[in-house]
Amino acid sequence: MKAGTLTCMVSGLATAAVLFSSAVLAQDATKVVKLRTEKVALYDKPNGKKTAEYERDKFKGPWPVVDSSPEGFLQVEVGDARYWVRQYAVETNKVVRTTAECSAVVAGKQPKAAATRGIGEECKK
Amino acid sequence: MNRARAVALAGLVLAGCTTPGQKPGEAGGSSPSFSLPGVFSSSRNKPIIADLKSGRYEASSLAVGQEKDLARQRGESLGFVPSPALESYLNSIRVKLVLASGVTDVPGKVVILASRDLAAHSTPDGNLYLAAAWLDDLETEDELGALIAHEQSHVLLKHHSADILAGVQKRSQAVHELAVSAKTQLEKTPVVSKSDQRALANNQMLAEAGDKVIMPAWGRSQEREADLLGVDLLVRAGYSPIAMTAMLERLQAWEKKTQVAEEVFWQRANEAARQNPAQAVGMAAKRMLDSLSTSHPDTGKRIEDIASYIDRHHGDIKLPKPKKVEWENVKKRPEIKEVMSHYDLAFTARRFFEQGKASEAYSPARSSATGRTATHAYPNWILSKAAMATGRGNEAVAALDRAIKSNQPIRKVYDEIILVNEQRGNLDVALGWTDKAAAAFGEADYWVPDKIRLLRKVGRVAEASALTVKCSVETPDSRKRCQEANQTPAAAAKR
Repeated sequence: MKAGTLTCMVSGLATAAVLFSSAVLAQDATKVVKLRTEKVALYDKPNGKKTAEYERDKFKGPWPVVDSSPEGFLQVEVGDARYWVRQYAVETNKVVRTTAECSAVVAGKQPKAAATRGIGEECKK
Repeated sequence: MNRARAVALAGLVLAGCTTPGQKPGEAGGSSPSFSLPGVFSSSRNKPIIADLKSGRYEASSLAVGQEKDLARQRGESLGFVPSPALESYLNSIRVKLVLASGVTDVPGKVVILASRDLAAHSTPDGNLYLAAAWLDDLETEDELGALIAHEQSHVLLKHHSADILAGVQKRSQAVHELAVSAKTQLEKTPVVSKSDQRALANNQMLAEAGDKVIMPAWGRSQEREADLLGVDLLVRAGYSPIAMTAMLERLQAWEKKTQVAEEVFWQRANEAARQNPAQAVGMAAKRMLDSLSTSHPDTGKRIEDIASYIDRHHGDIKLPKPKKVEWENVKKRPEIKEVMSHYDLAFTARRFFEQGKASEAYSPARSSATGRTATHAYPNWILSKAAMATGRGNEAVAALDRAIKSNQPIRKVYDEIILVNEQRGNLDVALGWTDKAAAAFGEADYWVPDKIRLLRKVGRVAEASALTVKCSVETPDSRKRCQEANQTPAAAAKR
């Protein structure tokens, strides 16, 4: 096998790999799937100037997330333009992990001695 | 009369649920002089913190005392994860948040529960209990702050006071039942009259409605308030308010994880419906009642409410960077790393043990009860179980001994000692352990039914009956178990 052919094959494989990984990345890319507030403010930069607002009722499809800032802003593509939004105001398709599990021993649980208030319901089985 | 009082109480409770915008102490609706905690509206113009009365904190009338509360709560679950360094860090976050509230002399501290469930709660004494699972899941100091801020808000807003009404209603029901029982005995009639039966049934129905529908609805409004005041506290303390939604997203992830179990349940119910329709109806009805009794609102809705609230009241602030490195550095500290990893091993061991894999449970259990956690109750308790199940009797006894002598014991150890002694016929010894257990856990009432049963078994019937009456009136939640225990066949009376 000639060196030129080998180089061509390697280059071809590399291109295929890049294309494949891009396709996978595009599939797995983070997107805004829902607006949590009635109007979502669009900023020019993280903690920057509010340039526009987007109404929840007009939200049609996902907004690709192209960047994020440590302060909790996401850069999104809205049509042809890019804006920054506050992370809490939108819901993305990003999977949130949790290591919590349900205890299997609930049956023997005694009534609580004192009134309590809690953040989550206890596991029910 | 009693029935009328119960109806009135339920009415007051309902009034509290349906009066949005009413503030504590503010006149409202048909009960002008009656104020209820937990009735802020999330669409108000002012942030919730604006209405929080600054100055000295007024202790809750339901508080039982710091040490007693800690002892009782240790008994409610599988104990705490004692780690002075970690507790000190978590409490420093709590102090910042309390300072931000403007309320002074707020009692309480943060304690870590030995639990793999995503759970957290607060008590009238101001103590905040966070399950260890949260420490693995939360990624920044701000998210920890959000969890603490939520629980602290329940304390600051005195949400626990709502339970006074529920307690009064249940006690009233217990007293009524006792009165009917006494009347029946005095009249020497073998059956309860029809009118008394109706009154008892109505009382029972009201108590059920209170437990399953009314109180949880009120609870849901309180959860929203705690979320929102928590946001205010985070902002004032310099944390990112986004942390509140991030923290709740973990809870939402857990709910999605457990949704699979819910789907499996309904599949089973469908299968049962084909074979035994009556059983299926019972299963479905119970599940629906359970879902009605959920005291927390839908998490997705909570997150949306918080997002709108931040926009409305804190939309102009510059969002600070969450403190990620600080929390990561704390987790890397040798003492904290060792304690947390040993508890993870103990949790793993317990999971194996519950799956019937005792031999697989033994190794992590043994590793969990070493080093800094060598004398901790939880790792030694699970080690004793795994060792016993794998034929290592001496090691099991030694581990159980360490668990009992631990300065922070857990309830399971006492439960098992009482059970083993009872099964072996050492009734007086078992009876003695019920008292020791109550003393170790802040005079908690869990062991009262055990004590009643054992008193009857040793022939001390009068004492058992007196204790049953006391239990029925003072601790209505244990009433049924106490009354069942008082049906235990009695031995001949002791002279």
